[in-house]
Amino acid sequence: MITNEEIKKNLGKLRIVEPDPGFKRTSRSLILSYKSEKKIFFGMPFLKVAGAFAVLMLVITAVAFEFSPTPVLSSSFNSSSLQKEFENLSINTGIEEAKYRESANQTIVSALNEIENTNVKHMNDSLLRDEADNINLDDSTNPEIDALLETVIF
Amino acid sequence: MNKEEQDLVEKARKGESEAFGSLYDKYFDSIYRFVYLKTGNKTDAEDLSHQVFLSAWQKIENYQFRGFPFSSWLYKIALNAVIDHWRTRKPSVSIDLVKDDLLSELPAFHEEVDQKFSLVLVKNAIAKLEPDQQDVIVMKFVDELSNKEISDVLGKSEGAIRVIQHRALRQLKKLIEEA
Repeated sequence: MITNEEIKKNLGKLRIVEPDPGFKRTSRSLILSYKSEKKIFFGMPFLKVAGAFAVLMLVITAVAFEFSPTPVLSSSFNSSSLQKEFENLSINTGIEEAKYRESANQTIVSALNEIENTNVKHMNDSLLRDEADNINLDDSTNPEIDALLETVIF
Repeated sequence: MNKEEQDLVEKARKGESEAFGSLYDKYFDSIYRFVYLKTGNKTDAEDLSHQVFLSAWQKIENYQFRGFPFSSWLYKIALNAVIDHWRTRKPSVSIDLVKDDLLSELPAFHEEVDQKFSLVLVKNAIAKLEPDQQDVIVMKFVDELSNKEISDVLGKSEGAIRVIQHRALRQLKKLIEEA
């Protein structure tokens, strides 16, 4: 018959279980070297200085933007003024487009009227036909053109 | 946690490797023993104990003092490591059949062979207990943690720990007698 006390006593004796000293030593140095490597890199003085400089520059830039005396610079980051600017831009674009469309329509209408109007001299059918009949396509020399060229050259 | 240990933890949190080294020296054996008695295998115990302390060193900045010894935090990490170990690697051999048993390698073991029942028998009986019973038995009677510490590690009430302890001892006695 085994008593609880005997079991407890034997359980306590399991404290003899220990890791291999060589393994324990190796494991310890491996674990501690892990963070040392990390610390060496992030603990480098030049990185600290660079980090501090970057933070300082950010702070200076932020302060400069916040308290800038130049209205152009500050207004360029002002959301309400940007919104207004955008709205004006849209309206201006609309007006310009409307103007263009109006002038284009007028040009098209006048061009169509001109085409339709056969009473105009240069669009008269009978006149154009007469002109075509008078042109001698077989004659390589035209005395009228020759006379004009001589006048221009001399 | 005493003042000395609190100082070590504080220094370790600030990245002082020597301070963590002292905590390692103080608790490595207990954690190794706990993991060994849970896994029943020397190699797994070495791998997992190493992982526990590496993980603790990597995450020590997150450690928050809650009135318990630093070891409570280590036991929690160890417990999770063992659970993950069993989840990812099913045991292919019964613990009873493991021949290269660490206990038989230890010189102190041979001085204890004249007792009523062997330590290997006790160890094998522990391996047959429910996981929470194993945790309580090892932490309470092998590593001598208080019920309060065990309740913190396992996230159970002290009353629940006493119930588990009672059942575990009864089961252990039965297993040893049957063996």
